[in-house]
Amino acid sequence: MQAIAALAAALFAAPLVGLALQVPWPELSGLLLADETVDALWLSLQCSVAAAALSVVLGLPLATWLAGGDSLLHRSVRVIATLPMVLPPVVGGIALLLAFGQHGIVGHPLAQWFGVTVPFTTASVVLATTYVAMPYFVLTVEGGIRSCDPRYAAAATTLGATPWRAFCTVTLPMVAPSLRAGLLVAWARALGEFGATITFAGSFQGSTRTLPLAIYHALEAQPDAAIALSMLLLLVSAAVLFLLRRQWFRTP
Amino acid sequence: MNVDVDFTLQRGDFSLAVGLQVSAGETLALLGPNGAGKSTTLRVLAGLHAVASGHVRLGDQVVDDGAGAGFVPPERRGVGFVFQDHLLFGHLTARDNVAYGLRSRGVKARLARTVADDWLQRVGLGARGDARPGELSGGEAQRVALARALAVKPQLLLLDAPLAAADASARLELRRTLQTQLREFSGACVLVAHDLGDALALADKVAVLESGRVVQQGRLAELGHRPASRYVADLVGLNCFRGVCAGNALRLAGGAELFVGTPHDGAVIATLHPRAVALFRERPAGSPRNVWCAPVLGLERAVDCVRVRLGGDVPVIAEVTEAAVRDLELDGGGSVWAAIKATEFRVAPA
Repeated sequence: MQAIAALAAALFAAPLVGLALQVPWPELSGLLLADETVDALWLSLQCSVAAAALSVVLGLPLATWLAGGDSLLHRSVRVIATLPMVLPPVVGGIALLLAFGQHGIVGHPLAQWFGVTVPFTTASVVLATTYVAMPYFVLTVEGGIRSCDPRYAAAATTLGATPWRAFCTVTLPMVAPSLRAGLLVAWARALGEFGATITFAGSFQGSTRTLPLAIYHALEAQPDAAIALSMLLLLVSAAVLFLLRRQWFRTP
Repeated sequence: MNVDVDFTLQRGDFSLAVGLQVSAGETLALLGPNGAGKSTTLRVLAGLHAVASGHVRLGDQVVDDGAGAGFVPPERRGVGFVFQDHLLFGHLTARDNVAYGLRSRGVKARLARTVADDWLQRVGLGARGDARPGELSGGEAQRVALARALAVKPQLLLLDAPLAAADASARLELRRTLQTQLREFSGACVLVAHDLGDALALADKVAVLESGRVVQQGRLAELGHRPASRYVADLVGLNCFRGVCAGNALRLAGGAELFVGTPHDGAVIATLHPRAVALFRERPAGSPRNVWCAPVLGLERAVDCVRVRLGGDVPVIAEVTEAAVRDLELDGGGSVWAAIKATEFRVAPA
């Protein structure tokens, strides 16, 4: 039993060690400051922050609504909002491409009425990453709101607060830990998004080639750069875990 | 404002039909077993539940007529609600909790905090303004909740078992704070009381709820004249003494003196469960403080016990078993020795 547990732990540890051993530490700064890398870094940062922001703006109302009921409609919406978490990202990318492409159900009217094409633009990166990342935010926040005693908001209304004010000044602060956790996980998921992005947005340097795509692109020609970028993403992930330690690693 | 309600409400299997009147300056205590609908009645008054039919009139405004159209939401009813588990906002300090209602009404932060500090002072927590609810004891938290409800100057104050969250040692002090605040409060007050002592100390009149119906209401003293149900009989079956305490000595209006476990000073109400009165044929050995010989005035047989009414200087009811009645030969009247341990009295300021 313990031997198998050790094997499992080794399975997680080996890649980390392997990566760390291969990092070309002396050339690290040079590799990270190369034009292509800086482009990818900057784009990733912009897109992941935009996706995280979009997840909050769209996801918070959705999470609030989902937490408020258990009808068939609620359950159905929860299923389709959760789907991207288990769907292979490349399938999500193809589905987005079909919907927002020139002949798609959304893409066609967009192109015809507004002359807007979404696929293979920076906007499509944001859309793809939001599609994949928002479920994490929605589910985390919905759980938070559900576990929040509604009588607190009721108490606020007896003190003269409108339901909206009670939501903003009582419920939201009470679910702040869930909001923080949901936001972090969604952002981390957006930063690492690969499959849906490359399918729906392609890989064009400066406009759609985010960090994960840049790593994949560099793997053959400049393996050192790929390893350096991988190390960077690993460190970012570790930092996210550190920030989530309260929510995820609480020992009773 | 005067409160006049007469409504019905259906929640799942539970139906509630309640009619009550409370005048400004008056405090009504709702008594009743668990699940009788006391808290739900408060929530109806606050606007947290809508009624199915009837009316809820606060002052000259009908705030709920069961039709939905005239329903006035809680934030526009001008009520103050103190919840049983106080429901203080954990992310705000005690001061900001008290200031919350004023802030919701558009009062500037600085002024709201000044007013909040003043209210905290009044409930005896002037120094705890910066404390978070998590750092407050149950009694302190309930004081903050009281200050929070009063700070918006409600016309109707609703208290849901305000003493339940405080531990025994803090209860009396909290009760005194409530008494003071209720005396100064000019609006109407409805409170849920969990025992007769609380109702006696805080309320002018009572309504007893059972299974969603008001079975009896009126002045507390009148409740026992003709108990409407077993619950009421049991409720008022407690021995109740009014008198003046000096330390552990409680002097009753008739002149008799009793010894109570917890020292007090001034006018008090002491309650005592009939089971706590022990009866003997002969003067009991040892030296219990409260021992006297009393004439037996009558017996009242209940399902599982006999209530013995004793006369004399300390009129009291004792609850004993049928076997004890035989042993003590109480059926024939006569007299009997009664003993009460000082610690059995529950004493509270009148």
